[in-house]
Amino acid sequence: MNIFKAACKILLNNKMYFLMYVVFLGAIGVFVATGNTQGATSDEFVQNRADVAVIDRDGGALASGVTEAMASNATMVEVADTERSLQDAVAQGMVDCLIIVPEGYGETFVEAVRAGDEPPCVQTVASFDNMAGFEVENQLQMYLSCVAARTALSGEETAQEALSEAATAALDDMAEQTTASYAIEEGKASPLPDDFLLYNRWSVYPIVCAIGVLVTVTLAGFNRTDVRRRNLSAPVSSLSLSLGLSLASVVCMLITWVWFAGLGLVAFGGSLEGTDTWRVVLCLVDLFAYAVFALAFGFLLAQLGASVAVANSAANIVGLVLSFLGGAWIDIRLMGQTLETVGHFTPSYWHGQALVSIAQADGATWDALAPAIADMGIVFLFAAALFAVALVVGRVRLGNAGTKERASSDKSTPKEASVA
Amino acid sequence: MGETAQRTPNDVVVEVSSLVKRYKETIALDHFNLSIRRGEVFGLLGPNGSGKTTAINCILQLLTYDKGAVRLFGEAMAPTRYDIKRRIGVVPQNLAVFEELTVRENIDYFCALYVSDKHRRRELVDEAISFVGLEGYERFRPKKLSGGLARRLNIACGIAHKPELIILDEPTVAVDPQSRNAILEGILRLNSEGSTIIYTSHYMEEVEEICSRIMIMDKGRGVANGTNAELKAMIGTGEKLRIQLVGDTGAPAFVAPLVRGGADVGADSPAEMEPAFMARIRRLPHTLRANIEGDVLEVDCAVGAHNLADVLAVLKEADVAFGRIYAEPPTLNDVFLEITGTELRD
Repeated sequence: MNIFKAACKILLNNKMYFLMYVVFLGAIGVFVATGNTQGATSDEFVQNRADVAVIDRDGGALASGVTEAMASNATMVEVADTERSLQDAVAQGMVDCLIIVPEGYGETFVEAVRAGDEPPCVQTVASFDNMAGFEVENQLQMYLSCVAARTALSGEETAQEALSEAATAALDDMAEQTTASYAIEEGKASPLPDDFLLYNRWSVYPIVCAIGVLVTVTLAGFNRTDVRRRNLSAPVSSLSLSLGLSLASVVCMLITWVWFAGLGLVAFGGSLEGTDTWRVVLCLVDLFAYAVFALAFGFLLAQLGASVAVANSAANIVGLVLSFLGGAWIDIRLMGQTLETVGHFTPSYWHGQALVSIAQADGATWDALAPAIADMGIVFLFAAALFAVALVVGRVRLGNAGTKERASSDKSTPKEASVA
Repeated sequence: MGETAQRTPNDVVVEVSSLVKRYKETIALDHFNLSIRRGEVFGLLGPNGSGKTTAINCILQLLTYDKGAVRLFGEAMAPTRYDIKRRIGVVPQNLAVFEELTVRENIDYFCALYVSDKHRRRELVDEAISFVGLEGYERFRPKKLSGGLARRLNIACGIAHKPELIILDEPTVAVDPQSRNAILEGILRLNSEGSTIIYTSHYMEEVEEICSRIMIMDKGRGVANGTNAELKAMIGTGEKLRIQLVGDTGAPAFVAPLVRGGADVGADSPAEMEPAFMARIRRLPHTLRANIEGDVLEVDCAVGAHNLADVLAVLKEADVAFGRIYAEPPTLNDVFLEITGTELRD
């Protein structure tokens, strides 16, 4: 009990690490999750509207149709039709996409369609600042394809009449498609709020840092050769010494987990209103599984005899790599097959998969929850494997230390009485 | 100290018989024997690597050994003999405390490994703080303490539970002279209060100063064992004369080889470079060795002989002026040198 108390005192005396890794990084997680999902909840969809300018040099029905089609999904910006103004509009980011309908475009368009040729292109310039301009180009192509189809089917004699009818009909086609795509998005809406999910994913990094560093720093004091020698000279068994230290490490893990779980519940309490309780509880269990892995990681660092500086560096690097491969910042599916495959060998990936499985579960039944439970089980397995490695490393390291130290300075480390 | 002391039949606190410890091909302890009686301050003296710490670790069962037996307080020692361990205090060479805990918390932690009663422990911790003179520093962290104060904390952590047997492993390494004296005085006080002390060191002056019995170790073996006087009596040297030569003696600053019984200078030595009186000094009946070191004539004499007058007579006849003259008894280094053929501080 005394060993446990002393270890807890050492743990709690590392206030700076608590402030830095638990409190500060926890708060950063809340800001990141709030900032990245602001205005987006599971119930509503807010469309991002691109800034678009249409330069109409044709003045016909097709040019008007293009303007109208773009206006339905974008914010129209007035740009003067001069060379300087057009260059400035794109260069200064006034528009995400600039569309120029050249003179006589309508007539050329009808002739090409009726002749069965490829319709002529409209000049477009998309900004490289974001993807919105390219999305506008896609919509423009979609609209022109609709107009081309309608024109080909039109029975009107004159090009102007045919274009006028086709341009109007294509606008209706675009509206129908848009409505249909919204309906599909609503059907896929997550039952867990995005901000809470993102916060849970992002916590992968600070949890590894906090638990990894705090456990290492706590155990490092007890693992110093002379302190260990003094402890083992006392009437205390290795088992009770190890038990006391293990309990203190678990306390460290619990404090960190409770903090991150509590902070998430408090910060995103509003978003969580109406969410199934069992989903939230499972998310916290998933976070707990990951905290157990972080505990094993800290234990390994301690067994490796990592100094405070090494523990900090290692925990930060490993934390960042794991959060990256776990898809905390960018969806792992967007990063290519290789990285996704590598991600499978990290606990953070399975932590993220468990969150997805929890969100997609149809109900609180065994069948529905089995994927999430399996994912969490894999995280626990990672922790168990790391614990085993740490035990072996500790055994080997203490054994080597005994021989080496003897050879150099007559200071012997007990081989058979290592503190696990 | 030693309030729970129990008298063993022959009053032997530590008994080590034929201890052998090997590290692969290296023999760290070679049939090492040791017997320490209650109330002794026992010094284990030897150069680095002589096996002192290995012997201590084996006695404490922190290391397994290949052969031999260790008995403490008359009973066979084993790693799980917590009843015996409870009667021992250990002060390692390096600072073995927690940086994150205060002075009081550190002492309390190590004391609590031996004493579970909270109230009793509080008294013991207070006594230990007072004993090592750390009053006023109770709330300090070890990093805030000077080197000497940190050493005292290290000692307090090992003695707070009032052990009967205290093992101090080179407690004065890298300590300033003032703190060193305080530590040595403290050790003698612990002994006067009833504790048996095992003191390992490679500082012969300290061992001579405080130890009632001394074992000299070399290459894992106890090469000599006895009181300070007994050890010095083991060797032939009884008195070392040191005479400062004044003026031009014609003697270069060189060390003559070891010459016994007034024999001639060895063939390798540049005898012709020595002043003529050196040969006469070496031929004196009780001279063991004679050298000139700088401007000091060093003459080692046999036990019981007082041939200062003879040496001075030779110098007068040779018309050599001399200044300061002093005689000193042999040191443990001389004992070590004569027994092992090497310097203790090699």
